[in-house]
Amino acid sequence: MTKEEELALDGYYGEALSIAMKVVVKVAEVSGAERLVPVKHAHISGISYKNIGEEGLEFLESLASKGARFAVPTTVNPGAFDLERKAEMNADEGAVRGQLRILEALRRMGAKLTLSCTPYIYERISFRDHLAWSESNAVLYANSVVGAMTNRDGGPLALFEAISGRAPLSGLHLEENRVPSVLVDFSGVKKALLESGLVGAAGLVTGRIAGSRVSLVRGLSFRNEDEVKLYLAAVGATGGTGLVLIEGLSPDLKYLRFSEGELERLAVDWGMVAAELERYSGAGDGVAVIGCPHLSRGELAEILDWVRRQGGAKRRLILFTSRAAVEGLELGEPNVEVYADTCMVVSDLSKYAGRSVLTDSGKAAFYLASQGYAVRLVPRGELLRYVVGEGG
Amino acid sequence: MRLEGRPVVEGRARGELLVTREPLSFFGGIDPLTGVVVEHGHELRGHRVSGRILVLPHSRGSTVGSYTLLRLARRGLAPAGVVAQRGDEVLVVGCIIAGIPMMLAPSLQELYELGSGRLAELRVERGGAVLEVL
Repeated sequence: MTKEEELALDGYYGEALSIAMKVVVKVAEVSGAERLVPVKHAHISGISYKNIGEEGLEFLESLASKGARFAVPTTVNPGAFDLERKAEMNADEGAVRGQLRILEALRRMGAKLTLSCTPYIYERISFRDHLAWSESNAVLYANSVVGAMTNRDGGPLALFEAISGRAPLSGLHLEENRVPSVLVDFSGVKKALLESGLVGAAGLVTGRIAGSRVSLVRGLSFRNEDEVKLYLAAVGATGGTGLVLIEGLSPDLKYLRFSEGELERLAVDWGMVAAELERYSGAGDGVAVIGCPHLSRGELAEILDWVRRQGGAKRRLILFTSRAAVEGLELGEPNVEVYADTCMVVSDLSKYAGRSVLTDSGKAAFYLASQGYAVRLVPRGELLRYVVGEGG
Repeated sequence: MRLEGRPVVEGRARGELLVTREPLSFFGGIDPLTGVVVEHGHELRGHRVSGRILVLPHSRGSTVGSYTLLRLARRGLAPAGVVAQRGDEVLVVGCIIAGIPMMLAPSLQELYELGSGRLAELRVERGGAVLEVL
């Protein structure tokens, strides 16, 4: 430990920093890290009142009162409702009060209340920046697309890393742990995947194969970064991994040294993709939900524009995005709701959308199905055609 | 019986052993308002962790589990101590913020064989940690 870190640990800079440093140092010790590494940015998940309760809320408030301040720029994940449209989401009053107090405590500690799961769109992060990020889709994007370095931290750990400004130098913070151990080869289904647009299903397949391992992915191509985030979010739902090395995309591949011959190889066939669709083949008559991960501003504008040009939505469509993406956009469109600050997974969707949904998100399908929703996973194109009244 | 281990969170605890060979999900697996294990299919389902010295290989599931330990502690329902084989993030962070003494032991085999019920004392200090079955 550096002199500075020891002083912090011993309480020289106050109780709050001492607790934070203690947590980070202990996690470093048990994970075998030799030292801590300064991080440039932190992103905190697990801030929902529903999950952390009154006690979690009081804990955050007491940290703020003890003078805890984030040492680095820090953003937060979506919460339980749209701050400006609570009533439409039928959020219950006690939960709203609790959630707002949690956000206030985080704000006092210096967080930027982005309430977005796509910090990689809005924050300046670069190749080989060390980050302390929780939220699996963000971690996967930062590592796999940007080449930044972050472990797939839990929400509580990321909170303490944000306060201490440091993370254990272990896992994906070290080059040697970023080399792949398995090759996931989509070459055999590449054409069919491209034609079907089943990006989410491809992600679910990858996650199941990779588990917690770093994988090298071959044979996938994406039309844009928005598709990449949809893919990676699904990887993070079925897999515990924080890094996928995508050929033609991941900057790490220019620098990492490994021998492809030593990798375990797995060729994806159509049966594996179909198995995912089979898992999420619910009723198919529900509300269309898009925005897991949060839609970018470009995607949002494109979807709204397309729906208008097709003569409007005949079936209900709910879109989730970040606050920064909706500013100034014309959102008024019959049958289409746009929510910011929250999403279909962390809000109580059943209270405003029922229990039967269609989505293009592998991640949302995975989590909503586990919460007992009837979910159908379909490509975005098909989903939008369903909304404007074709097929379905 | 005496088991030496590696200190994680300092402190002393005395309580009945509650032993499982299965990883336990703290978020969703333990009711934060009662301390009762509710994880479907878990061998400890229906048991209360409160006041016990919980012996388990490691945790699993959502990292919000750290907050579950905190919530239990604030309600006086937390385990008195934790002995684990692997120091995963949920347990380490949870035990620190909840103030639950915790040690790591390279093998829990003897405790698995002994099972739950015996009174034990956990002493975790900076220099070392020991679990003594009384």
